[in-house]
Amino acid sequence: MSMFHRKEHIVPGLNTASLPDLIFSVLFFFMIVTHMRKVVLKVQYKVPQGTELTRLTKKSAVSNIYIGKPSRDMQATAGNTTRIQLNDKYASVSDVIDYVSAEKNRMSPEDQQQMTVSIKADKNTRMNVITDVKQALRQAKALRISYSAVERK
Amino acid sequence: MFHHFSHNVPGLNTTSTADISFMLLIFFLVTTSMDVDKGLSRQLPPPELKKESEQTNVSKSNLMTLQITSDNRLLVDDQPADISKLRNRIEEFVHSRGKRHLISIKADPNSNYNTYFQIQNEIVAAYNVIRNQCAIQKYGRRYDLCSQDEKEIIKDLCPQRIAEDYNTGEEGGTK
Repeated sequence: MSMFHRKEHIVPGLNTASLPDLIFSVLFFFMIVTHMRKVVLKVQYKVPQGTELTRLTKKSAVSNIYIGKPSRDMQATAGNTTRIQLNDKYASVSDVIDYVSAEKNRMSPEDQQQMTVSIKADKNTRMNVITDVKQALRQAKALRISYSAVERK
Repeated sequence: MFHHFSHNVPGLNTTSTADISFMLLIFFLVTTSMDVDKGLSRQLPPPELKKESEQTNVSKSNLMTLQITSDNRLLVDDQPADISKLRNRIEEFVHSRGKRHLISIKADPNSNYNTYFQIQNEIVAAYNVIRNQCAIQKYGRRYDLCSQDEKEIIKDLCPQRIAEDYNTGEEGGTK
């Protein structure tokens, strides 16, 4: 068995010079596919499930209306009834018209053409709130709406 | 007087670059979200349109009424119906009536948004099926593969005619 000569050799250390580059590319991947949260949610909502959903393509032409019960830490001050949230604060139905008009003015002319209002409402909301919001949107001439939902599994 | 030593400059120590970029990565993972916005696209009628004047033009036989009661059940033409069967019913209805059909939705103010959404979803599904059939018949491919002009023509051929009753319960409507 003297065929195998066991030589003592030193294992070189793993070269980690490219590790930062690898992590940077993961970082850039995440920076591209994700987006920053813009508003602090003050309502909690669980959107309904549907099958015929379309993706909202243009982020700059979308404004959001959140409808739901106040989140747990806000319930002491805001109560337990369904509220509408626009930007960072609670609002009433009459504020929706002003909000949508303001959003519309903020957008560029080509975005105004395809402005979409995404209604993110909790699935246990009563219909009168939804109907009120829709009437307000009609008044504000924001006629393209999208009922936010998740794909049914 | 000035001694110029020739000495090698040591290489920059870059072992901590990985840690720094990890920090950045974790920061972005925490502050951003990945959820894509999806939803059911709908078009609202313009505010000046008088719904009553439109409804008088539609005869009873071309009208399908969908009603959501306050306990979240669906009534189709005043008969109780199942939401899962709604899609086929609307398809049949639109096929037989063609362009003259009208679907009317009435939701009770106390009903649930989820029920309403499911019904809207079924309506959109039914219309998608009809437009697909129309596109295959006319252009030999699916509706979503058609060009913008072809889509406009198909939209014209198979319009979505839906009337919604905006009953908020404040004008003394049904309970």
